[in-house]
Amino acid sequence: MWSNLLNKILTQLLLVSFLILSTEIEAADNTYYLVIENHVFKPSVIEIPPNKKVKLVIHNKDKLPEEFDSFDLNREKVIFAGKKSTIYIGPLPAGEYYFIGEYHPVSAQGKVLIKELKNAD
Amino acid sequence: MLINTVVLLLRDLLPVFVLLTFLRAFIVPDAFSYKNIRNVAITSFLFVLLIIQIVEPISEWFEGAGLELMQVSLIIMSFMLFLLITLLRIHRQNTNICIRLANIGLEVFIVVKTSNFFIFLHVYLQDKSQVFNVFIGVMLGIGICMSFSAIFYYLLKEWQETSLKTLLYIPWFLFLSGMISQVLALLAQVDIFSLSAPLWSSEHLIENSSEYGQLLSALIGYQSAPAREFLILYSIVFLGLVLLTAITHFFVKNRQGLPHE
Repeated sequence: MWSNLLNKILTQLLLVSFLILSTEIEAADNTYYLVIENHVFKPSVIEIPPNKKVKLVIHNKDKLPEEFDSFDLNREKVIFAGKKSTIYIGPLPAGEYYFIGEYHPVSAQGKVLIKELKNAD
Repeated sequence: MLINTVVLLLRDLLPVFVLLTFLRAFIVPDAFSYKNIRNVAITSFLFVLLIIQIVEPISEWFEGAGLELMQVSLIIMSFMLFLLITLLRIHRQNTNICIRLANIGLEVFIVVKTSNFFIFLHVYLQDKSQVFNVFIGVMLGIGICMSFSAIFYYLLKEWQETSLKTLLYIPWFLFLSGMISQVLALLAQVDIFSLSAPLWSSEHLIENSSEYGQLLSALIGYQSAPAREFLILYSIVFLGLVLLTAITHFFVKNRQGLPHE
């Protein structure tokens, strides 16, 4: 009887911990990270869910400033050498939204892929 | 690099040339003496140099929203000055005041629009091998802007000769509405304001990144995928400007006892 009760309590505790953890993961999921290194965006493709506003933290590891520029996303931000900058994008419908590093457009290219994510919600 | 310089220059400088053309054609033509233009050019250049020196620390103010907030403040300031000049012009007020206000408005607008381009120049002029390409790109870009400006000026002057000259204010107000509506994207970029999802997309007709898209963006603040809030602000400002001008025009004519146009 005691072992059954202990099992139930442990299961409930696990369930509650899982729920708390999943909420934290979801909040963390709203932040995406982009690194500029050797005038290249890493990763070059970011997948985000549709119709959601997300935070994009861009870290420029190069020794020169770079400008994150996207006509599709209507965003434009200079990120100084060695600095991090944050921009918010969305909510946007599903689709592909291209961005470039305006000061090195040949190498610094990427896209935001907005689509239903398998593990979202 | 050559193409990129031209593209960047058109994006940043074309709105300045469009503004200069409006001012020269009918808003404050008296402001375009050689001496005045030289003074505005020198002052703007010095301001841009100053901004480039302090832009990095400014970008870190207000948790990284410093640059956007500075741009928003300058755009609003510039908009208010041009609105005031338009109303003073309708009132046929002192030209010297209009010229001084236009100088400040122009300098502020030039600083907002060209500081990113000067950062780009600053980056590329460190690499000596790129200097020639950047120079040619700048010359080409300025050439395109000046050519467009000349054609646009000619069109505005021709329009001014017709009986519909009062309607000349319509493209000017569209330009001002586009200018002020850009603040929403800047505020949304740093999460001070939330924009809803775009209402439609006319990307298949005119892409924002295309030459026509950039031209329309410089002329009337065109956006291929506008959010509801953008359209609301744009419409309110445009209709507000039309209404304000109509009322001012009406009172001025009544005071002077002139027939309404």
